[in-house]
Amino acid sequence: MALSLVNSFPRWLSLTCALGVLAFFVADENALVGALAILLVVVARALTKDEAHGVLPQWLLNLLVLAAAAWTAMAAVDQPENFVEALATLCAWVQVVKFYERPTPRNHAQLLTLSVFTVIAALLTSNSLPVGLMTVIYVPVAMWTILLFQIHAGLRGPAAPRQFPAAPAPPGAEAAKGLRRVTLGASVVMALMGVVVYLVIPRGLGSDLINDWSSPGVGTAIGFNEQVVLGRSGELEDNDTAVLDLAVFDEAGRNIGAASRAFLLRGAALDDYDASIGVWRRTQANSQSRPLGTNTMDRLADITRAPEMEQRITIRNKTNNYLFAMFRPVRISFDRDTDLVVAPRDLTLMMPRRGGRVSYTVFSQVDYTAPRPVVVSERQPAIFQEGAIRDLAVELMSEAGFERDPAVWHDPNDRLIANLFERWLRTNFQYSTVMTAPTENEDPIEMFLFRTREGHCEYFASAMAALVAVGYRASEFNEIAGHYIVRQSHAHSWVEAHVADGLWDTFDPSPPDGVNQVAAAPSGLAGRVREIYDAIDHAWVTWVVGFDESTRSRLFGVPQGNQYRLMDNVGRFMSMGSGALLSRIVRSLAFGVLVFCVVAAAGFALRAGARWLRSRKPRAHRGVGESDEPDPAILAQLGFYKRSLARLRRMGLGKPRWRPPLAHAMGIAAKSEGASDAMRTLSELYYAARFGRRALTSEELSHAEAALRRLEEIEAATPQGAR
Amino acid sequence: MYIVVVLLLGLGSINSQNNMLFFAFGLALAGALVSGIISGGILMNLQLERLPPRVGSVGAPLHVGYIVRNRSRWLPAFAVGLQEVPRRRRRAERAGELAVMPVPRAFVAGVGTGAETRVESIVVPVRRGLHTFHAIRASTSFPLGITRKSVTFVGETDAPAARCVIRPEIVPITSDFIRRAVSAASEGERSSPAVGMGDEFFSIREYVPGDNARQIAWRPSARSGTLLVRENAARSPMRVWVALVPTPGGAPGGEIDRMNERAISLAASIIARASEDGAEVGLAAPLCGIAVNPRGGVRHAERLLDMLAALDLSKMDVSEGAGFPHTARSAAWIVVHAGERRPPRAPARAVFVSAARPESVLNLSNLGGSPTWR
Repeated sequence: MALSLVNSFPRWLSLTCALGVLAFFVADENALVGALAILLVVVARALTKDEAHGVLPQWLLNLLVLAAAAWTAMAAVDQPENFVEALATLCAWVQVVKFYERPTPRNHAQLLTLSVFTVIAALLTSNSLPVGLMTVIYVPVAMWTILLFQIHAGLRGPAAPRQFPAAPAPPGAEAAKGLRRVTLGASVVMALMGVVVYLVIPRGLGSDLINDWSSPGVGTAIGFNEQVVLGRSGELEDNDTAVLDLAVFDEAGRNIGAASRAFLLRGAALDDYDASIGVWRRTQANSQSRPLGTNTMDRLADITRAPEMEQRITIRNKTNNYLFAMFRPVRISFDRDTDLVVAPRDLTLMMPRRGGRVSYTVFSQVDYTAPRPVVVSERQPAIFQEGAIRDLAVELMSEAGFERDPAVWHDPNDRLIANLFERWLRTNFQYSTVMTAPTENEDPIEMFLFRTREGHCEYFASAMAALVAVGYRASEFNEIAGHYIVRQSHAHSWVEAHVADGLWDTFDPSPPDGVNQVAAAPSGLAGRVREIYDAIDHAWVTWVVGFDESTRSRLFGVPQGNQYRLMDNVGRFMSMGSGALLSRIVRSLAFGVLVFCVVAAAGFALRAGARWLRSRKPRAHRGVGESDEPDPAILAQLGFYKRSLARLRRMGLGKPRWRPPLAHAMGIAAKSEGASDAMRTLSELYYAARFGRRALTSEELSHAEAALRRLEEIEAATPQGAR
Repeated sequence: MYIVVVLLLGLGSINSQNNMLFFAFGLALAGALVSGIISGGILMNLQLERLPPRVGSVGAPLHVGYIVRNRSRWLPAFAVGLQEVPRRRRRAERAGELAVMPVPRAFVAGVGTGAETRVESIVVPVRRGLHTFHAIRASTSFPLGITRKSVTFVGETDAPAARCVIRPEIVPITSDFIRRAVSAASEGERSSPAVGMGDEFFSIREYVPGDNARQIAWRPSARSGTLLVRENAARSPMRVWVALVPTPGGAPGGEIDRMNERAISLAASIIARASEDGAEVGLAAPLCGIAVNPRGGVRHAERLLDMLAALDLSKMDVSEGAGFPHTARSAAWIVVHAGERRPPRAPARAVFVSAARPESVLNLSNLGGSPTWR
């Protein structure tokens, strides 16, 4: 075994642990901490001189581990929902500490175990593409390291060997090649079986028994805020993290997404402005809770004849209640059983109980006529009854020739007035991500309208003083994947205005150029690379992370339903009559036995087939130029030899298999000289024919028969007890 | 523990509906399966052959060799541990026996496909006796260390068992002890009836060219008028009887047994030393019925050591008739006794060495690591 191969084990161990630690900290979005941990591991490796000494004294290492455990306990008490992350962080730091210990096989085994647990924790924390890729890299590296560990530990164990080849030493490359072959083969088989389990296990199994299961999130939690807070200072955070994916289809099923086309996905409609603190809020409204089955289409509102747009939306990591859709959503369905909450007043969609990755399909009618008269009290916009903003609005309307009584709920010119205000704001104000704080007693909206004349979308929306809708503006279209990628930085605010009786319409007063500039994707090579990465990421989220029961059912042609709810199955069994239950049990057992027999028969058949194939292959003969098998005619003459062995056995002088015939003949002389003489004669004749490869003459055969008769006489003369 | 982890992974994946955890669960299941198949495949394709040593000594490293052949054409064997397995005996048979040596273990790092390799196990026997090799257990937890499988290789039932004689521990005897003992007896050294390099006069003969000038006997030459040379007689080798007198009784591992073993070690060491010094050595153990006349040569000395190795102290004859053998030829007697008291009826002018007080014969401070003398 090449020593260099085994001596590379510490390097591979370090690499395995580093990958595991990095995978977790990437999942936890703390890559810098992960890099620090890896740096400490590298330092430990460099400082480790030999296997007899650790880098730091054991008492110090124990203290460090205790400190890490105490920190974990405190973190777990503080934030119980992050217990897994805290535990994984502890595993990661304990690994770092253990690299400063004496490198014993026991220590190495503990490191490998901790590393595996850390990667499992990474998978529990996030299923993002980088974590998935790191897992794919980690598995074969860990396999290789574990295989090397078996050899490395044995070479340092109590049976530490002196090994040398009996044959000329095989080159070291052969040992490495053999080990690589085993690693590759085992990794492939394990990966295949992992994929099979991944595909075959029903999703939602036992959901009624274990927990209200939800899908883990991918990446950053969505940072949607249902309040608009004006008057902050600083700069808007430009966060590139993808939060949801959107594909839009028309009624014909055509994908109508394009880089030049943007869609507004509403989360909440805010109708109450608190001028004292500059905050827009949503007032409480009656809402209806509706449990929906998997892929069950629920009608949300009156459906008119206006065209519908289908939106297929995947929220990567939902952490609040709101769902997003274009206004006016009319139908919705989900990828699994869901409790949907709808506010009929403003058609706000919420899903309180599910978090993590959520996929749904919603149909919206964007250009629609009023389906029915609206009750005035249902949805009231914020009204500025007095003040500079009202005066400005009146002035603008007057300049345009509109006269409108603010006390009247509906005016035929409302749509035109809304367009006016939208146009005016777009052309007379600048879009800026820099936030300016108002002076004391200054209203933020007034500050925007009268002093700074620049701001971001929340100010533009607030300035129209109708209903501020908050959500996302989907504008980044990925040509490769055919969908929009909505990022944190695409959060947007716009306006919904009452333009006709029962009709609310969407207006976006933010200057389009300014908004597009902020939301623009990188161009050139960087943009192309990002586009490809986003497409791969989307495929990852859709087909790996998002692989759900509906997809599995389609793949295997299994009808989707509640058949995997454990308690339902238990209930069905309990409600069966004894006869039916017994019959069911017997049928199941019989099926199980049948499957076992089939599998066993297949195994035996394979084995028999392999043996048959081996027997057909010509065998190599060592050192002999011709076949070692004697002439069958000669073999036929040697029956006397077998008979003589049988006689000797009966006489209690049986020949052991390991002893040559002639040696045995001489060996039994002390017990029976006659038998020894006879056996000697027979052995010599046997040698001549069997190994001398010549047929015995008739005279020799008579000698053999005579010797056999002598043996028979001796046997007859030997008393029974003496044998 | 692995099974627990797999179960937790399964439950965790169902609970969280985390697809990557489902994949990890499948990997874990496959790991157990693959590990079992590969480890079983490795062991089923192994052929083992033991190269047993014939002779060893207490306290001296004993090399037990193994030839390991891998018959598989596609699966190399890695990380195989070998361990000797003693024959199963009833408790009554085992009672009172102490192990002759630690269990030999070896480790095979790797054997390629269709290849063979040789490994050694080095053990240090701790007790004299006859060790029988019975079976070898080959085990491996390769590749993933999840399960450890083993296969026991037993020799053919009608083939003689491999045995190894573990001789008593040979300790360094003080360099001039044998000569002192022989001198004290003043019976051991004689001249032989042959010409040699001894000191005693043998004969006078005429000078022939080539004779050493120092051999010329001047006075007889002057008297006779011709050159005459003196021939001396050859030294007859020392003849030494080593008598072993163990103390009867005593359970294995007890104090008496310990002293007896020390006495046997002393006797063996004296035999070895005397043989190295060219003496003719014999062995007598009156209580055990052993009396072997002194002879020279390494093979005779080894035969005596083997007899000491196989000595069964439980079958001592403590009757009055067990006495020291009488010999026609004179020899020096060295009586090694286990107890402090000298045994009665020892030959006259015998030199006595007690295992309880061996300071006259060996330096105990050098024997800290000795299995017999620590």
